[in-house]
Amino acid sequence: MSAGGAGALHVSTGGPAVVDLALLEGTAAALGAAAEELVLLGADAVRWAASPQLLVSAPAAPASAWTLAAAVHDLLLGPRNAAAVAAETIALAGRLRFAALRYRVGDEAAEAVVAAARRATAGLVVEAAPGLAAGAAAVVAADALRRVDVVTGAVAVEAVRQARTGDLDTARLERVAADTAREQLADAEHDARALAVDVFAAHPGLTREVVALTPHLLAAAGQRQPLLGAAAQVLAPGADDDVAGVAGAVVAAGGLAGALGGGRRTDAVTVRPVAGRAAPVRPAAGLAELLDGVAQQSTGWPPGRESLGGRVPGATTPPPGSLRVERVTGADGRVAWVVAVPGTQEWSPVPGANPMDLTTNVRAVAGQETATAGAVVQALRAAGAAPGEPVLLAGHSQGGLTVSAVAADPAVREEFTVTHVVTAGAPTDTTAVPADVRVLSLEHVDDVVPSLDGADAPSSDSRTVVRRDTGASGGLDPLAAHASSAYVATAALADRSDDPALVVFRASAAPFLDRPGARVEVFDYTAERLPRAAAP
Amino acid sequence: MPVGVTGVEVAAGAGAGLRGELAEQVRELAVRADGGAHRADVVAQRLRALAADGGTGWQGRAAAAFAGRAAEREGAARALARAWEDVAAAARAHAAAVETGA
Repeated sequence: MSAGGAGALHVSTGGPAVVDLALLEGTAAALGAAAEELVLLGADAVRWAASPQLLVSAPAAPASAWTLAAAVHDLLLGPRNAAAVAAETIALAGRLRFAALRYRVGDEAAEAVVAAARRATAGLVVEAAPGLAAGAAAVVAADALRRVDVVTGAVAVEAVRQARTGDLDTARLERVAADTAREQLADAEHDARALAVDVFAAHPGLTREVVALTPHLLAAAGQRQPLLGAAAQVLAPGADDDVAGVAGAVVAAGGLAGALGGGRRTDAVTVRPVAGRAAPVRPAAGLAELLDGVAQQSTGWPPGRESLGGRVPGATTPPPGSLRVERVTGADGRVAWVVAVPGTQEWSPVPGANPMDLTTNVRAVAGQETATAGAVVQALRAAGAAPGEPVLLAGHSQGGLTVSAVAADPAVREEFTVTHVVTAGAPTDTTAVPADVRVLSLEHVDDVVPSLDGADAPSSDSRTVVRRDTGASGGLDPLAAHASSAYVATAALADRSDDPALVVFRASAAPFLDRPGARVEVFDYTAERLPRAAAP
Repeated sequence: MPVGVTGVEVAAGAGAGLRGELAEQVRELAVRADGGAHRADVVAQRLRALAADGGTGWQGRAAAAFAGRAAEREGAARALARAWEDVAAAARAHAAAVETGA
């Protein structure tokens, strides 16, 4: 190549070309700015998709919710999602910047810039790694790449300045790289990563969806730009440059198999016994302890929380998909069964291994068979419940939907003797539970979820509806009135109530509750939705 | 047939008001999605301008290659805007369904 004027080059390789280096660098900067906007737009898309209104409105209109979920899925994970476009744009900016740099300072200096920027930005990428390991996102990756691009640009500017003086000071390049990297880490104003991580922390199911795209993003960018390839190596140590290799390493690390293929799982389910969980020392004393037992099956049960009345010493967070069966034996030797089913644990629109997910919500409200209902039946069967032995099914939120559906299933009624159902915060009003099953439904008037079936809550001879305004509607959390702890408090009020309907219900439920000489044994299970190939 | 008891009310209830409120919140999300589509379109316009202007800074195959790649990014940004529009439309349809209980 040869200089033909200030900044202009005539390049003999690759065909005749005249390059204005300033314009090349300006274009690279403009591309970087466009990529920044795309990264922020990607973060906004993730926040939008995680809006609680979408989650709680899904059971109200399952068909339109499904269409909306598909559109959101395409926005977040489609081939032209914001993070992918951002990464491609950053890669193009990098090509232009390095082309200009090579012309300005020569290959040797350009290599020094690459080396300095690589060392400095490895820290940047590692900084992003905890978010990626906890549930990486394409947005997080694109944000990291954008920061890498900014650091590289700063080092390149310094290299060009040095080239004008004729001295290449690599130590100075290292300092510029390190300083810029630190500034990037401290840049809270445009911290798309922080935004995304906050959202993902609140919605881990969504996180696992989005993370699956990350390796493809990094690998695609890395093929075009060596520095970004280095970033991919940091993020997925041991992976080679092959797209499938990088993807496989990260996917395996995150346990993501099946996360991307919505059609890979069915609603067939299996339950596995779980040993070693903290067990109750006695049967539940009343409705509140029954629902506290339901809450203990939720992955939202915080470690260290004391169980109500000290019934389950050392209760801790259970594995995902947990449900518990209790066998209560009275002093007269008669046996009764209690099944506790928690609420929704996964909000991904794509069915995964844990059946307590959005798929079950939509199917249950639509009156279809669900994997969670199948798990309840299998658990009762595995625990040894026999015909004629009364069964009480208790559930919160999705768990309430599930147990109502189980109680209404004629096949279940042939196999087991379901006599009682207790639901809390569940849209169960349209479920046709037979009149010989006593149903107690707790519904908070400021909890939007129980209203989502579109029906008024009907009371009848066999169904008692307890309604209460928790006063939480004025708070910041739109789901505070839906929390299982709020329903345990309402159940405690119901335990103390002398309302005739509640007095009768409690009396009828006596075989399931604590009384002199009664004892309890527990059978813990986890439910797992089967992959299509493994389904019977 | 409300039967008042201490702190607890045993009664039938209505959900229409809450559904309407929820539908309105979903419509607000649709408006935000419209904003996302607009921002993606603006990015696409910037990329189109870069594709057009960048090619004037140099010539030959490199210029053509850059213009082609920038045009690809513009197309991708426009596809992103369409994805936001699809989300906005689906959200509005969902809001209507939530409101009517359809």
